[in-house]
Amino acid sequence: MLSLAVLLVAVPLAAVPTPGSPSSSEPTEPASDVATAPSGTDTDKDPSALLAALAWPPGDQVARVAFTEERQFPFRRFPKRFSGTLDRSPSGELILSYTQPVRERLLLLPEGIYFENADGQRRELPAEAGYVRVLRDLIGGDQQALQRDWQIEPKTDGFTLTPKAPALDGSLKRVEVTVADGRVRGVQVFLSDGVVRRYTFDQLTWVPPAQFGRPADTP
Amino acid sequence: MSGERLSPARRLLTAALALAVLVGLPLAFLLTRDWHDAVNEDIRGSLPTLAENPRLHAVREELQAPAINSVLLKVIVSGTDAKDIRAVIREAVAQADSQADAGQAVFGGVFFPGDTDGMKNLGRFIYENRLTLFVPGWLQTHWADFQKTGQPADTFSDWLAKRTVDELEAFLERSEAMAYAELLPKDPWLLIPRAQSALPQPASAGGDAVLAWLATEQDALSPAGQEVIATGLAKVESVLRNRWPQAKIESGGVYEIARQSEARTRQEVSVLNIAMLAVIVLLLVALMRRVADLLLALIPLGVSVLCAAAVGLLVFGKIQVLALGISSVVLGLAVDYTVHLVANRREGNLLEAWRCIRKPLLAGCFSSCLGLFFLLLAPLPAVSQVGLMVPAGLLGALAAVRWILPYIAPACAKPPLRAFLYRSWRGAPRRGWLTGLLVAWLVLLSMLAVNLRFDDKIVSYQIPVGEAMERYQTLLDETGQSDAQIRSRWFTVASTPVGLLQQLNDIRAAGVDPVGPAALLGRAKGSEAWTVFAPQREAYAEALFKELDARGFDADAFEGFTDSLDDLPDELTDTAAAEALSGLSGRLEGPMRGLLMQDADGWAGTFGVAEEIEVPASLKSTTAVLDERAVLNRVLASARHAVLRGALWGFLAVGVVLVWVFGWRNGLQVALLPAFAVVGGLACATIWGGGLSLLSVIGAVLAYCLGLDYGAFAVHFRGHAPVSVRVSALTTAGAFAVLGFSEIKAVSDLGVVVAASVLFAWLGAECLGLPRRADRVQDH
Repeated sequence: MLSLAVLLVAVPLAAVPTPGSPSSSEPTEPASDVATAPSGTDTDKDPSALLAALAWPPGDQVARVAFTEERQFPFRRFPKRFSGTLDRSPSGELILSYTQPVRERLLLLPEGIYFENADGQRRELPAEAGYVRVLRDLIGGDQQALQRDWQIEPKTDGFTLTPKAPALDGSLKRVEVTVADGRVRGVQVFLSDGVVRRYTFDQLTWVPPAQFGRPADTP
Repeated sequence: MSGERLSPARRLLTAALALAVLVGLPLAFLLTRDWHDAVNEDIRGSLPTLAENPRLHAVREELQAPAINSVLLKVIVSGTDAKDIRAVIREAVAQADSQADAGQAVFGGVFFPGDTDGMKNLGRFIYENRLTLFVPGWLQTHWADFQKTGQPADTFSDWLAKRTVDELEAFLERSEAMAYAELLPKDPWLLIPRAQSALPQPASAGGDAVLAWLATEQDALSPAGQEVIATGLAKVESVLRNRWPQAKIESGGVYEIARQSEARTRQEVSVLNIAMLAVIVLLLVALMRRVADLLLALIPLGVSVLCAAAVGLLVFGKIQVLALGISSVVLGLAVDYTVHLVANRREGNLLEAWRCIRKPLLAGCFSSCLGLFFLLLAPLPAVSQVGLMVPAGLLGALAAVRWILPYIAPACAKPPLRAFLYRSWRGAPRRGWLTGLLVAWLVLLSMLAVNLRFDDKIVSYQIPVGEAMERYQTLLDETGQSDAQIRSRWFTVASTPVGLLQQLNDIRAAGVDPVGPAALLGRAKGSEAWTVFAPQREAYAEALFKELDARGFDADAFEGFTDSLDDLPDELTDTAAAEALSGLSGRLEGPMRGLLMQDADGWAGTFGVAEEIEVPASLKSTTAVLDERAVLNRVLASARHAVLRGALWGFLAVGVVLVWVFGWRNGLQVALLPAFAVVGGLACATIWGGGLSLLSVIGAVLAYCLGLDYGAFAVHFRGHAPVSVRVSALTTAGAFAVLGFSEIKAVSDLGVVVAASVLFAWLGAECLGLPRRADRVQDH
C-alpha cells in the first residue's frame, strides 16, 4: 500500500558519501589530511576510528568533491547515471548538487535540510522522518548518532553500516563505505525497496566560498 | 436691481426664503431618514452586481469560504513531539469553543496539514482508485499531444507506448523517483506521482513546527465575526502558552487582514479629511483678509452637502461610501464659488459681484453638471451616484451664492483678498507664454503616451497591511496552499459528479489546460481519447512491452500493469467514476475541501489555469474564475472604460455649450484649457504612481470640471488677474495634494491627478487671462 505519507517524502535517501559536521568546523578527530587517515589493523574494529575516515579536512575555503552516482532500479537492467559535486563550507554546511542529467540540490543547512528541484523550488524536508535522519547523520558525520543508530562492521576495504534504529530499518538495508588511502572512495546504499545507489568520489579540491553549492557549470 | 436699493426687510425675506428652500427642505427630508441605513459602507456594494449565473455566484462564495473563514496557526515547541502539540491544540480549540458565548462557536474543526498520519486515508483512496480517477484526464492530455503530430489514429498505441517510456525515463532521472521504486512497475503512467505533485505541497515550516488550520464558524469579513475569532484565537494561544511558556506561536488569517485593513482605512480617512480641511482653512486664512468672508463660504458649503445628500438618498435610497468619498469634491467647488463671488467684490457689494461673475460661473457650473451627468451612465452604482449627487451639490452651492450670500453679507470697501493676489502679468508676452505652455503640454503628452498603463486591480483600493499579509502568506506557503504554476484559479459546477467530469472534458476541448489535481480528472465515456484507445489496449500493451525491453527495462516487471489494461473499461465506467469522485470528496479535509465540493444543488470543483485568460464564452454558464478579486479587477476595467466613454461624450457636450455661451474662439479655449490640464495631471500620475486606476479617471473628470471654471473666468476676465482662480487653485491643489500621500494607491492617484491638473489649469488660466496684443495696445 502506498500512503500519501510516502508520497509526501518523495526525496532521495541520497548521498551518504562523505562525512563531516555541518554544525561545527572542527573535525571530531585530529584534522589529519584525508590521505593520511587510519588504515592500521588495530583501529579497524574501533567504530570511532572507522568513522574518522569520513572526516572533512578543515580549511578557509569550500571543500569540494566531485562524484558520480549509479542508481540501480529493480525493474531496470542498467543503472541510471548521475554526476555532481558535494560541497562543504568552512562553517560545516553541506550542499549536494546534481548537475547531470538534471539539476537538483540537497542542502544541509543549520536551519534545516532542503531539497531543491530542477525548477529551483525549495522544499524543507520534515526533520522527524527517518530518511532525513539518515541524511543528517551520515552526510553530517554525527559520530554519536551514527554509533547509536547503526551497526558498524569493518570490511577489507572499508566498513558497512547496518541500521539499528527502527525508523531507519524500514527504508534502508545497509550502507557500504569503501575507503582507500585513508579517504572515502565509494559508497553503496542498499535500500529496502531493492534500489541500490553507488557513489564514486573524486579527489577533494578547494574552491572559493563564493562557489559554495555552485558547481562550475552552474549558470 | 441694485443691492443698495433693497430694503433690509427685502434682503431678509429673500435670504430667508432661499435658506428655507435650500437648507430647510433638504434638512427636513434628511431628518426623516434612518442614517444607520442610509450609507452602504461595504465597498463591494459600490461595485456592479456581477452579471453571472446566481448558482455560480453562490458556489464561488462556498468554495472560498474555507480560505476566508479559517485561521492558520504555527506552533514551535523545541524538543516536543508533534503529536503532543497537536493534541494540545485540539484541546485548546475545544476550550475556546466551550468558553465562547452561547451560540457563538468560534471554531469549526482543526486540520493539521503536516500530519502525514491524517493523510493516509486520502493517500490510500487515491492509490486504490488511481485508474478510475486519473486515466481519463491522462489519456485526454496525451491524445491532444498525439493529435498535434498529425499521425493517423490507429498508430496511437505505438506513439503512446513510446511516450510512456520516455516519460518514465525522464522521471527516473529525478530524485523523487526513488520514493516510487516499488510503485513504478504498477504505475508506469506515473498517475500517483502526478497526483502527488498536483496536490497542495506538504507542509514545510521548519524542524519542530506544527501547523494547524482552524476552520471558523464566524464571518471573517464582518467586524463582529472578527472580534469573536480574535478572542477565540487568543484563548487558544493562552492555553498553549500555559502549557509551554517557551512556545513560539504565529497565526494569521483573512479575519486579521480585513480587521487591520478596516481600522487603518478608517484612521487614514480621518487623518486625510482633517489634513485636507486644515490645508484649506489655513490657505484661506492666509489669502483672505477677513474672517467674515471666510465664514460666508460655510453657507454654500453646507447647502451643497445637504442638496447632494438629499438628492442622493431621494433617488437611490442608499448612498455608497465610495460615492460619498468622491462627492466630497463638491465641498471644494462650493468654496470656490464663494471665493469667485467674494474675490470680485472689489469695492462694491456681493450683488454687484454676482453680476460680474454671473456668466463665467453659470457657464462653468452648468458645464460641470453636464459633464458629470454622463457619469450616470457608468455601470458602477457608486460612480452613477456621483453623476447625480455632485451636480445637485453644485447647483445648490450656485443657488446659495446667487440668492443667499449677496443678501446677508454687508458691503465692504476693502478688497477681500491679500494684495499680492491682485497682481497681474501686464508686461508678459501672451504669445510667448502660450507657446511655452504648448511645448510643455506636448512634452507631458508624450510622457503620458510612453508611461500610459492602467491599473484595474482591486488591491489598489485596499490599504496595505504589510506585516499581517506577509505573515499570512508565509503561513499559506508553509501549509502548501500556494502554487507558483497556477496564475488563475477557476471553478466549474455540475449537477452530478459525472457531469463535473464532463465539464472538465469540455474545458479541455475549449483549449484550456487545467493545472493541479483536476488536470488528471475527466470523463472517459464519450471522450475521443478513450474511444480511440479502448480498442487499441492490447496493441498498446504489446508495444509497451517491446519499448520497455528495448530501453533497458525489465519488461516482465510491468506485466501486472499490462494485464490490468483488460479491466480498464470496468474501471472507467460512469458509475465507477461517480463513486470514486464521491469518495474523494468525502476524504478531502481542511483547505483541500475547496478543491471539490458537493451540496444539495450539485457538485463544484476548482482547478488551476497556467495563464491569466478569460473563461471561454462556451463555458461561461458553468465555469468561472474563482478568485473574486479577479472578477472585481475585470469589473473595474470595464467601469473605467465606461467612465472614459461617458467623459468623452460629456467633453463634447460641454464644448458645444461653451462655444454657444462664449463664442467659437473663447468657448474652445475654455473647453480645451481643462483638457490640457488633465493631460498634464494624468502624466504626473503615471510618473508618480504607475498605472491609472478608475479613481484616476474619475479624478480627471472632476479636475476637468474644476478647470472649466478657471477657463471660463480667465476668458471672461481677460486682461485682469484671475484672482479667484488663484485662490481656488491653491486651496484645491493643496487639499488634493494631501490625498496624494494616501497609502491607498487609488486614492493617492486621485489626489495626484486632481492636484496636478488644477495646477496646470491655473497655469493655463494665467496665460489665457493675459491681455491680447490688441488689448494691450488699446490700454496704452
